[in-house]
Amino acid sequence: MAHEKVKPVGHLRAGMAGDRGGPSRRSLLSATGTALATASAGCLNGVLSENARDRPSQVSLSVTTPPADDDPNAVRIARQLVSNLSTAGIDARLVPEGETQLSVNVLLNREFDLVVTDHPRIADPDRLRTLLHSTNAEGKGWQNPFGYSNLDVDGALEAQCRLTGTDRERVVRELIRRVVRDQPFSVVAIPRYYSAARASVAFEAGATTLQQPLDYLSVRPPEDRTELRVLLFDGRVLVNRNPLAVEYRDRGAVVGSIYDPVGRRVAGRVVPWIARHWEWMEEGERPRLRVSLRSDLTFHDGEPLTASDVAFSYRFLADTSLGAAEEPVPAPRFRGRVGLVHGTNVPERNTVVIEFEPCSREVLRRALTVPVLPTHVWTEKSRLRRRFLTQALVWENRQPVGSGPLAFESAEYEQSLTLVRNSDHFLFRDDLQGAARTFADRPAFERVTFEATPSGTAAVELLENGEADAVASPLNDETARQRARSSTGVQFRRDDDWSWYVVGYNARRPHLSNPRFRRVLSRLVDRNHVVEAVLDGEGIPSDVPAMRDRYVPDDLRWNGESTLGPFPGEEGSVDPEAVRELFREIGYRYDDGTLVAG
Amino acid sequence: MGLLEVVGVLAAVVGALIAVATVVFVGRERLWAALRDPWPRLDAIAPYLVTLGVVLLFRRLALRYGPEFSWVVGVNLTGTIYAVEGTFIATLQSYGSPAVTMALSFAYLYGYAFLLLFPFVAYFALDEPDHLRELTAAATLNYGLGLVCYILFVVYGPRNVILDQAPPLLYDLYPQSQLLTREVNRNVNAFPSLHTSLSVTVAAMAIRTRDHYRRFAPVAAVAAGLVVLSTMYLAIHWAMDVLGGVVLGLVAYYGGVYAPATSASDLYAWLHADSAGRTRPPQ
Repeated sequence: MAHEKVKPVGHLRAGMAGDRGGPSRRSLLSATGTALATASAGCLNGVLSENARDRPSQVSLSVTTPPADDDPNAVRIARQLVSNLSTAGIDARLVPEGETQLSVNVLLNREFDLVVTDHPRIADPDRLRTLLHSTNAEGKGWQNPFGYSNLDVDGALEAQCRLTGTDRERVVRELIRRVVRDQPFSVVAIPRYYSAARASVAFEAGATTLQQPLDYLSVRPPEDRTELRVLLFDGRVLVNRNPLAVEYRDRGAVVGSIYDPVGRRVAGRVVPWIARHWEWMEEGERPRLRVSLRSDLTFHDGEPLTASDVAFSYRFLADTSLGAAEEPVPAPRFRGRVGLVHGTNVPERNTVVIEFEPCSREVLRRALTVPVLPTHVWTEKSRLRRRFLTQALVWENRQPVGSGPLAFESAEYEQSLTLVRNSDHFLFRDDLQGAARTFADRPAFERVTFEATPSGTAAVELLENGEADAVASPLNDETARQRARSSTGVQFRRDDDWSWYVVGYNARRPHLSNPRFRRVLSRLVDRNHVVEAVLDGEGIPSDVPAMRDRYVPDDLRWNGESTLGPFPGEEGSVDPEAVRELFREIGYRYDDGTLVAG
Repeated sequence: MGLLEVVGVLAAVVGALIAVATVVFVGRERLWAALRDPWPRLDAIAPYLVTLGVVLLFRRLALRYGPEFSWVVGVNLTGTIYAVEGTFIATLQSYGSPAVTMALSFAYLYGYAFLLLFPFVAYFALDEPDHLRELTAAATLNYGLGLVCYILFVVYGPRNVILDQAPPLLYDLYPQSQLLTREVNRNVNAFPSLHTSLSVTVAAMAIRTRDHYRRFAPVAAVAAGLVVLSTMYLAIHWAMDVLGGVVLGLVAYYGGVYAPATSASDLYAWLHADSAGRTRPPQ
């Protein structure tokens, strides 16, 4: 502006000089007028062009995480991230949200910038298709909550579904490489799973804790007792027992024991469960599976379970409005699996033929693990509550009717839940065949009660006093773990590593849509420090979203630091200069120590 | 399960404290005299007692439905409070010791319950019902305004954020106590601290009534100070929650002091006059 002002003054002088004998009034006026006009025009132009641009403003990000009551580790990782973002000159804010609210905001409303949470590890790479395929970005639940889209990744996700053996492994390795390069989300560490039970509780058939539905078929209460008393920190199942609900996602163990699937995953393989057997049919362009159900199956309310219930379940989970809405309203939790199914037909009362999308059998078997729902209960739940939201998705299903080994008996809202053994279940039949025989005559108790307990230490104390038998939530609190370790009446239990801590980025938001920006953010978590200080050494650092070694390219294996680059600091705290250099390298600017953009 | 036991111990300890305080500060004769003629007092506070009952009932409902509602209409201030005060609570804890933890846990659980209940006994024993009315009105305001804040603000306490730096000392010392605290509040309702606000209100009332109970005033002030300190030291509240609690406590105190003297019989007379179509009750 100052520079612009000088020019008209020169113009004015020129005008004066051209008029000998002193400037006439007219020329002076005219010159002054022109000068003023030019001056103001110059000035105005400057002002206009200056204000037409947005002022650079500080980049601000929120970090959503469950509170320590729900997960003491996640909030500490999130705090490290917030602190490092602040050092990097970003206006960062911690947003603790209870697990239900977090699910609603992240998975349904997509209201978040960064989220730090645990996520089940991905055993089958096809799960990545649900998580990352760009056509899922408008879906709900764990269908691409990150809003990530990359056509190459989409292509690889589609290809891995069709391929088998080493071809598939090769494509998956390439996929993993792209995902690590793009960082739609960042893997931080793999915590170990710890839990506790009374010393007199027996874990059989390979079970070590109570994480999976089959674990309830493997556990045996103390000799003289027919009731198992289980403690939960996460009381969501005490409120909502709808297998379709996204916001009440639990590990699925309790609800999964109430609802039986066609096939269950036993020791890593999907084996016939309510199916007696199944066979692939050779003819036809799409893969087809002929499933024969066990005879005389019933739901807990006594109604028969037939092949038409299986067909209904696939139709219903694919569109919970049963055709009433303009577009299908799928159940988000099962969309990945149900999407593999093209259609079904029921040639006989106990036979269903499932026609699949063209994919490998290995991947397609996943579709058999969805719960079989009673047609007579769920049909009326197809009522639309509002656009693309059906009763089925929001219903609390307090008295679930399934066909599983455990049946609902009673519940007290938010306080307790009692399930009873389903003695009509096929596991109690004399002629039980197949892999399910491992669980013959199970569960080994008549009833199981679940109660919410506020903390790990309180839970261990209840085990010590003999007021409870087992804990079915992870014992994340180190104080509680130590107490469980040293207590004689309590067995301290360790299980396979079952989840990752991840940082998810909402790519729908400014800056987070930029993969280079995400790659820098990913480096702001000191993975080694997280394992040492946050997990007390009980875990391993990781930055690759694949569980099995054969899917991880050799050069991406963890070798002490992230493949994206070393942590720019020490002991979990970034060095201010080093971190700012990382942002400058990707084209960001600093103004008085704050990271600015715009 | 454990809850009944925790409540039983609480009732026994607080009952004993109130009994001793009654003998020391009030005197058995004075209380006995009041008990023989309770009606004027009950008449004076009945409208306020009913309001308190309604507020407490609302609070009970809000404990169940409030958090869900709060997530919709309220604002989550936890991150802001953490950004402002950081690890102040951890610094406070660093001056502590196991003995201090014991003492402040006692203050938090039993001292607070004593402070909340004893003044009702003490003011009931007075000849004039004014202070009893003021106290009831102030307690109602505490709970009522506190409830509004709980709905407007979602705040997780320090133990949910800086668990590792400021451990929840009370729950480590006495895990079962969480069964009780969980019954009376939710973990998203840290702002403001009702322990603080009610203690501040009672201390202010005790100072106001020092002519009646000269020795109770300093005891109440010290006890209130300890309760306020305990909420932070035990990492149950942020310093900001306590600040909010002090403001709420003082607002409730002044509100209670200036509450109109409306007794049940006044209301009855007014209602009677209204139904008879007259503006003033018959003399």
